[in-house]
Amino acid sequence: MKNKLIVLLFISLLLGSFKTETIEDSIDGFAGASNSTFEPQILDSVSGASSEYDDEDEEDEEDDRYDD
Amino acid sequence: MIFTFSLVFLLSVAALFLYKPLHKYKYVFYLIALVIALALHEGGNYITYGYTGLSFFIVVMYSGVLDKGTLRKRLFQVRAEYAVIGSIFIFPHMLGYIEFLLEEIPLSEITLNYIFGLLTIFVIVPLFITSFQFIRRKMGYKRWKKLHQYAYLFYVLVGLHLITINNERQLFYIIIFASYGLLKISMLGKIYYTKSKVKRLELDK
Repeated sequence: MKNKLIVLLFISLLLGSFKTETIEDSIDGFAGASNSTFEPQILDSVSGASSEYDDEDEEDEEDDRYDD
Repeated sequence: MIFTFSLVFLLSVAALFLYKPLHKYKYVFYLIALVIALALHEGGNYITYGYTGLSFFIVVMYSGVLDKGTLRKRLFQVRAEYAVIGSIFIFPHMLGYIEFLLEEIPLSEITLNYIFGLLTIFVIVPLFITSFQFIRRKMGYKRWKKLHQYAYLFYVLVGLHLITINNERQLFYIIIFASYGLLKISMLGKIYYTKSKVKRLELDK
């Protein structure tokens, strides 16, 4: 009985994971590609990397302002 | 999680039908795992993210709470092998993140999931070394068994490490580790109840 419940639990978890992530993301995971499932966002946020836009763009914008 | 759970099923089926070669040629499988781990130890992939090792540990973990039967018997025959292979696959994940922590993150910004992850390393290393049969023989069964009780601490730390990452997979981790905890507690409760019942019967005699 318990074994059947455990198997059922893992089947549900597998089906649940199909709902939350795309199969393409899982295939990409083999190649090490970043995608919506395996994105390095957590690492970026911790290491303080900018994600919205590049620092260079920010500098350019500032330069433009001074040019005016 | 598709990869993780698919691998859990694959490993369970492999244990069911291939338990003999998995046990007999364990050192060949260790070598294959080591070669794969070394080849894929850099960049982001299922090994460096820790998912491959996790799948092996889930199988090892849950084999301990199964009811007596063929599946439990077969899994127990390859449990040690799966634990060693799981450890081999988890080392690139650990070493990669240690390097990342030392180089990129200031001490004040280390989050809880990293702390649990680091603590896991202290538990897994002695467990991994003593998982090899020749070391187990040298240690003696009682000492080995006592040390390997720390596997439960390892499961707790891995669970906390994963849950505190706080990503979209958090619910999956909670379900996996909470279910295991409940099953283990109910199993221990049953054992305790049976033992105390036997003791009572002996005293009545």
